[in-house]
Amino acid sequence: MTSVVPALVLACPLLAAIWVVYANARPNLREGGSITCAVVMAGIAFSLAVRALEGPALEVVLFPLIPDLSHVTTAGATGYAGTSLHLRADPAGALFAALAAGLWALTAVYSIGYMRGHGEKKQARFYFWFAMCVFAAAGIALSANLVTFFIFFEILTFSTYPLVVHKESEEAFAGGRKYLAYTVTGGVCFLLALVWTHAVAGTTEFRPGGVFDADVVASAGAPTLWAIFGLFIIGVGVKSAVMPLHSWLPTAMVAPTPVSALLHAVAVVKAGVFGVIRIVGWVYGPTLTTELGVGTALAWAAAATILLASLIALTKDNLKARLAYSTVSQLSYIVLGAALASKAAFTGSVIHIVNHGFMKITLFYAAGTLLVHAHKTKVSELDGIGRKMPITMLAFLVAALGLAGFPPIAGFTSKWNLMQGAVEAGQPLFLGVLILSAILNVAYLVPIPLRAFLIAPPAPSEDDGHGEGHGDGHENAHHGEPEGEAPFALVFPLTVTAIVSLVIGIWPDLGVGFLSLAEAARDEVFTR
Amino acid sequence: MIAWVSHHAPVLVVLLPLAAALVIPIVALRRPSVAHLIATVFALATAAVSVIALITVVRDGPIHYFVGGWTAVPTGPPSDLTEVVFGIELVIDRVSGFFASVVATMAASTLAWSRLPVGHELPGREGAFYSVACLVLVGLMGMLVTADIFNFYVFLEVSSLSGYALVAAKGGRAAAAAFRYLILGTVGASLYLLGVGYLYVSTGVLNMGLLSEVLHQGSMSPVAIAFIVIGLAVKIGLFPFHSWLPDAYADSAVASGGFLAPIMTKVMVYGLLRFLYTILGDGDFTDGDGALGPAALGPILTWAGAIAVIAGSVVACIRNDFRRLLAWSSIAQLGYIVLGIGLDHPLALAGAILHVMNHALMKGALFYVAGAQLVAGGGRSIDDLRGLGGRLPATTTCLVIAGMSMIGVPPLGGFFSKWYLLRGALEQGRYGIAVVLLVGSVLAAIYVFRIIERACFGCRDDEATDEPPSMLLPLGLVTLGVIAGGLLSKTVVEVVLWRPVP
Repeated sequence: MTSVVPALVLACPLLAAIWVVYANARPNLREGGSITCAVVMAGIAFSLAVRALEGPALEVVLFPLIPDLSHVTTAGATGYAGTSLHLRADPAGALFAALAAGLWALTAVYSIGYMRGHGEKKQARFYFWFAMCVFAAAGIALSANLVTFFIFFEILTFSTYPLVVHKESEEAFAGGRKYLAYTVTGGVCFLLALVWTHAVAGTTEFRPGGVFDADVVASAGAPTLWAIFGLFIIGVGVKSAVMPLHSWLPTAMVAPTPVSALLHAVAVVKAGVFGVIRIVGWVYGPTLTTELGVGTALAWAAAATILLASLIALTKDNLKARLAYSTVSQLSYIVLGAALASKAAFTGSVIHIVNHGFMKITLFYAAGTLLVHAHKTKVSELDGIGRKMPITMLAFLVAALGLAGFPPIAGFTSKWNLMQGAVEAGQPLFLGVLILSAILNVAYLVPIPLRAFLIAPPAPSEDDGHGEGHGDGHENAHHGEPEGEAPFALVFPLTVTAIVSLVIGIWPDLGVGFLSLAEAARDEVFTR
Repeated sequence: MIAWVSHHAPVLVVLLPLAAALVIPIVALRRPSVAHLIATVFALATAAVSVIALITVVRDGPIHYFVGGWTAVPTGPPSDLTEVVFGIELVIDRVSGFFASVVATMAASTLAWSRLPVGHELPGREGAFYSVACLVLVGLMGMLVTADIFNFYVFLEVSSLSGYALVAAKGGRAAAAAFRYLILGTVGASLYLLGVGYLYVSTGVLNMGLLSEVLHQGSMSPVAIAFIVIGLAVKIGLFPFHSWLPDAYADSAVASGGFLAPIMTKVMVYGLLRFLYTILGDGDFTDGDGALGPAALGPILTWAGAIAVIAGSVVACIRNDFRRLLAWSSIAQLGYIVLGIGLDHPLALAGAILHVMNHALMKGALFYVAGAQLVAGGGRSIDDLRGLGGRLPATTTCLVIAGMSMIGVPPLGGFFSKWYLLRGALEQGRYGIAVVLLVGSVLAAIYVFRIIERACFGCRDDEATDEPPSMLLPLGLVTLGVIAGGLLSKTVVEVVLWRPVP
């Protein structure tokens, strides 16, 4: 059904970006505009999500991109179909768009507290590219074909770069170069796969259940389809940080924390895993994925990533680095679910986009709050901090338990579906991987809030100079120890996300109805 | 009026810049602003006539023009070599109309932009600069409209000789670069002339259409083909015949480089396209079977183009002089175009022709940025671009957009050229070439981000200087063209290349 609403979702962040340029000199007006746009966007995206459950998907064709050249009579030529900038709010897309919009609204509030509290420079540039990232993520969510997807995918790649190098230090530029090296390479692989798909299947549409018909499969042959799948997965796999394509992500941690939160919970990495889901569900289709065996190969890569990244996370003392590896591990849950290509696994995969989004962003908000308010970046420095900042650390605890899969927090729903899916797909080995990973999750995340609450804070700073580095002692003396809980703009968003993680764990269909959307997406893909 | 213009368009696009080239020395040799105005206005008029002609061609079919009313078509059968015809035919069809529109528009834009940089680098010689620049345009437009291979040579020499003068204008290193350009350019032109002579001796005709008919009846001489293709390859700056190009673009005045880089080599590409497809091939651009002529040429050109893509991009990645980097990037981008021509598939050809436009726009924009940096008193190394975003914020925005298009980021122009090139490569089963295209994109990302990393970061907001509107406006319009080149690529491909003539 044609409707302009999907385009409105995209217009909000674009408007916010323009507003940032216009109101550059007046910070309050500037951030006010960002928050207004974010709230409006969230409202539209939520209504779109509700609508996606009810009837045919709303869609809008904005602009023709590639002409229909089917009248060109070249012998044996297929796939001259045209393609357009085409947006469609199907259940999976509406789910991702609603997540992006909702978390952007909270992050907009949070980044005011963070950026001002931390005295960051070039805040206008930060807010501009931040809005562009959300624009690109929403575009990825609502793309109805691969070309539209790729356009927003590349906009996302290059909009994230200024955020990664925001500090303009040599370390930031090195992180930025590494980020670009990985994502640009991934991008060209995706482009080749996309053009190849157009050449083989004659279309770039996302079609539930796949675009490769039986006769196309027969004429193209398995090696070609393997190659295309591989290229697609390299393309989206870089962003979803599947090993061995993950190493840009921990390096990109030099970015300001709201960016890390956005990178890890909403925009970049989720765009990657959302891409994996689109490729499996809407380009290849679960049947072909299983028949070709590409799914199994991908599932093993994902399983290896889940375990290895968890083990590396255990060794990291820097809080953001530990969270980064946790992200690498958790994203591969989603990849694994898609790769298994069974009904329950697919649901689990889609719903984990939302669940991981809320839980991981809570953890990053907390990490950023600890940095700005208490000047702590290391896990080993957090002893006793829970007594001063109980709300922050409580939210951290909720999210950490949720990621490990404790009921009734959100992570349990996804894990339950994934486990069921592993059995359904006849691959019970992955059941073991998931259980092992849950144990590792507990091991590297849960001790953080526990030591914050249970271990006594270190003795005052006279002794500090010996144990800690001289720099830290100096910093503490300079800033002073935190007085109680962090400011409202920092604590409010993380409280909300922690509560949401808990609520959607208990009532997964409350409000937007994320679980129903995930199930609707599953039904769409599996009915063909 | 419109009908009159479109009827006479083939000769008008040559005469308008010629008139400017002659008028400027008479009335404005010592009055820079008048010379600038005359050159800009006449170039704009040329562009307007080209666009009108293109629209007419798309609507009503090719415009044929017989200069002086002399017929160029013999009354007898074309194989009758005893009848000699002296007339010269000018033709504007879809492809030449498209090239002419792009070339004349970019020329007009660069001339409009160039007042300050020319005043900065060539003080006292503005009149001469504009007169010679218009003469270059005469040659280029003549090459685009002529349907006669010897006449093509004449215009090629007109544009080349005035091009050497334009490069040499700054003196010093530029004179050395111009000398090198002159030697190699003359070798290229002579090879072309040899090939033309060879063909004339064996066929007795020079008109492209007739030549094609005659050649298809008899055997084609590989020697003549080799002479002509290599001669044009030298003029294109196709790797490994590129060695004149970096110096000529980088050591000359920025206005000279900025004027020549986007358009000069493109017209040589047009010559190659005409020779291969109209004369040697079956002239049908769209059906994709043997349009290119001799089968061996396709793979040779494709691989030559592929090597140029890689070599040009790699060298661009290690150059520290901004304009030299741009020149090497040009070598790579011309490789894309030649590669697309060599693939001999309508989609790849669409990509090549689209890339002619896109590359002209983005390379023009980047040279304008180099000029803005120079006029603002900055150095020529990419390290001197540090903090450019603080000094010239609007210019830097354009730099980023043009650079992104160079990488091939959607939805900018460069992406769509690459789409069609890739599509054509896959359609022909040339997977190696597809990989080369992608590697080229990654390398482009490296050299573009070497610039962006310096220009966009480490800026201070308080040091913004004036960006003169006379330079910013053309830059902004060309950058809009880069964006439009992407969004309107569908129309270009459909209308210029494929929509059947009613």
